[in-house]
Amino acid sequence: MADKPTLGTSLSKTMQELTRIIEESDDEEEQKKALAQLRRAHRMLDVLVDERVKKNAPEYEAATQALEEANDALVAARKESATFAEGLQKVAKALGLLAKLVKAFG
Amino acid sequence: MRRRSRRARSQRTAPVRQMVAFVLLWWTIVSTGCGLTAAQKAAIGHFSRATAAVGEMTADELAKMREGVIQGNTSTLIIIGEDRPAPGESAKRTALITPTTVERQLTIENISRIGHAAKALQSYGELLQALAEDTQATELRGAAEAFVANLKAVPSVSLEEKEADAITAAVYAVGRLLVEMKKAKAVRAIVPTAASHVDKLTDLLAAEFDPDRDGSLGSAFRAAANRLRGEGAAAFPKATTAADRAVILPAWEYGRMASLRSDEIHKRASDAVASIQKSHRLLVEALKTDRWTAEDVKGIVSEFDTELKVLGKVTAELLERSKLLK
Repeated sequence: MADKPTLGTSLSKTMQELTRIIEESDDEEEQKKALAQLRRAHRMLDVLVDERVKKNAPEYEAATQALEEANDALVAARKESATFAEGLQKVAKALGLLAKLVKAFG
Repeated sequence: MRRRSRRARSQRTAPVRQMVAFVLLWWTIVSTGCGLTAAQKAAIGHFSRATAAVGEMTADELAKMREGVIQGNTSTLIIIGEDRPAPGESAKRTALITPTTVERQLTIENISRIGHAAKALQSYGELLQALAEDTQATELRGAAEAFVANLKAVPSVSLEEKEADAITAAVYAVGRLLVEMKKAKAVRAIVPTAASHVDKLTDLLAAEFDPDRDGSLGSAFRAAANRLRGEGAAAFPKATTAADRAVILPAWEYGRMASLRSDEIHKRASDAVASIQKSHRLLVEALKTDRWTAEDVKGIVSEFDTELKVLGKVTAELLERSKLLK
């Protein structure tokens, strides 16, 4: 069974159809009626967009913040990957110093 | 008590040290199964490619949509003079086009919020890929070689060349194992945690561009375009001067071009975002199972080529010594 059309999709389709009628019709009266309905549909659709934008704003912000935290975790994970090599370099340097000391005082 | 020479001591302890390096090396190479599989890395690559440029694409298209709505509503107001509700129509005042509200919901604040979200999504894909690709191989090789070279320089330490090679190989392999384990652990923790937020964001973005979705900015753009087309088409036959027609005709044409943009580009943008969601879900699924394949084994053999050759030499020597001891 097909999904029931929502108000927004109905308004959108209605506007497209009315636009087509206005552009193609030679009948002034038909054009005038279609134009009045087009304006009305536009205003109704605009109200829906307003409501949706207000509803979505906090959802966008919450999801964006969560993703930014994930990004921070990925950056930290990459830094952590470098710690073994860095640690090993430090041990290597310490061994080098030790070798020099032993030679100097040995 | 006979004093044992340093050389004799070295000959007796050399097989022990080789055995330790052998066992360590073998265990670490085999244990690299704790890292990401080839299938998991491929899923990360696929997701990363899907998100590439989504940040720029979203920001560009939203800017064009804002410009289009402003231009369209401005032209509509020029043609009609004033947007008024019909007699008996209970329209909200905020739904009327006025000179100060031509941008409607495509305000700088709204499009910045959406653009920021898309950029976070793009960064997430880039950072995942960067983590998956980062092997620290060059750094680890250098550190392992420096470690063993300096170890050899300590006067009380005596290492034969083969032993030094085996220890270098083992240290490198341990380092690579640790890097792969840490990477895999991080990805397996971060991706599932981010999954619901990626789903949410991609749902929101895909809907935003889809002109057929309720209350989307895409539908607002198309509505402004159709409104302009209707006003232009109705006003043009009534225009009495060339000056009037010179205003109405380009506006009408602008409306038609904007409708085409809505049909062609916005729907595709919406589909591109939907594919990002799909590829992230595939990545989440891939991370649930560690299926090691022949491709994974080939990868390990290829990466640890040097270490495996050292392993082979150490093994052969140990076997030879064990024959001599019989």
